[in-house]
Amino acid sequence: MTEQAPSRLPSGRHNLPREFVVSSQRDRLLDSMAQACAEKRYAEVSVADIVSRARVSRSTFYEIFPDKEACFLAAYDAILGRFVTEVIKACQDPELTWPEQIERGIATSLSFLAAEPAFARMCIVDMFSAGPSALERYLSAVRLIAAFVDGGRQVMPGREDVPQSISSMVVGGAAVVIRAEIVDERTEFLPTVGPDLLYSILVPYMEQEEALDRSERYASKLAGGTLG
Amino acid sequence: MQQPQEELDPFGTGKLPSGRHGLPREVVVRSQRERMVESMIAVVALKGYTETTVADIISNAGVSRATFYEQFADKEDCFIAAYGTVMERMLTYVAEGFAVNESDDWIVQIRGGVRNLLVYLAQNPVAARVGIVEGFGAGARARDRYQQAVSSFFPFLDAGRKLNPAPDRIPSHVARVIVGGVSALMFNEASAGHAEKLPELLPEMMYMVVAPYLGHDRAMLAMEETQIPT
Repeated sequence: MTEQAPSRLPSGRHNLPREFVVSSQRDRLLDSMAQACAEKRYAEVSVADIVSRARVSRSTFYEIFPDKEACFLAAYDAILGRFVTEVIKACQDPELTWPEQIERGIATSLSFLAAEPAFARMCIVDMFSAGPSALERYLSAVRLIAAFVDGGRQVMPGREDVPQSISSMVVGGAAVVIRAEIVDERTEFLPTVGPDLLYSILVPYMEQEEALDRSERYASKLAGGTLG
Repeated sequence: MQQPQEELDPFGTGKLPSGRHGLPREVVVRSQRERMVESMIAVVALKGYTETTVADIISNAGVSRATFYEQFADKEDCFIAAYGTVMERMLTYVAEGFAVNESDDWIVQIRGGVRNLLVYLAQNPVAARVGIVEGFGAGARARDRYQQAVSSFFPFLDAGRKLNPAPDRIPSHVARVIVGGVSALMFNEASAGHAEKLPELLPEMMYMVVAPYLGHDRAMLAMEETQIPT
């Protein structure tokens, strides 16, 4: 017995309900789309690629998705949904103060992306070439994270006057840093930019000295390997 | 003296007289290239990158298809040239604005640079569309060109770091967060079709540029001292 679940259901006759088969085929197609996008540009990925990787027939593909873009968007939603859920869950630990929640959110995001390079490329890089719907999904994820960061104006003393758009800028800017690392094929080292991102996101909402201290403590935790 | 080009050339194609004219070949080639690049900027701003075709470009520029493919490998290649042209113009506007007040106060210089860029984009929605919005949907090369353009703005930020008493403590990726963040906000405004409102964002952008180097209080001051350009 192997520990790993088989990625493909047994072929031939089996008693699995059809719904389950479809969902598994769908999952394999989504997975194949993400894998294909990690290896080449979205524009170069073909339906033929995806069906051969997923080991489903072309007609099955078109029963589930009208076209390549629909498959990309479904894959994108699935992974982005999982990403946002995981990050928000990590952030919302009531034991943590707001700056600690931000640090936890950054660390969780970067580890997630480093562990899933195919998804990282798809979510942060490829959505720019996959049409307006993909871009709109990316922007709504950015808005969700920015709204959490904007909470700093209420939570941190004396920061009501920080403009609301600062949260959009620091989150958008952090995404540009992450994208540059992925494009330079440094995805596995993404966690190392964490302290810089923490500083950039915190500094509008606290004294500069405290933001520097927190960023430096984060960097030494990383260097000491004491961060999950 | 030559008249300004706009008057001689109402369609802005900058086309040279056709037929025999005795102009050196490199002048012709350069003029054709500029026309194709300018046509790409104009057509992409109108139709978006995806809908733009090589046929649009050559008919707008008044060149043959063969001429197009002598100078560009494909539509993307021509777009990258157009995108690069717009990026260089944006950089020039920032540099000119940075120097305009002849001040050695970095906050005054930065405000001049960002103001000049925002006013330029507000008055040239075509440049805003191509430089800020369409570049993101145009594939991997445009994306790489964007990252390169982001780094070209870093020298304007170095002086801010030096004003901090402990410049080495400020994390190195801060410059990318600032330029990326400012461009993300410009993207939001320009992609919603509100390029003309970009100058209204100057005070908030000043806060964004100043805070990471000099902290919240100085950033608030820089924001409050900033007049919205009219």
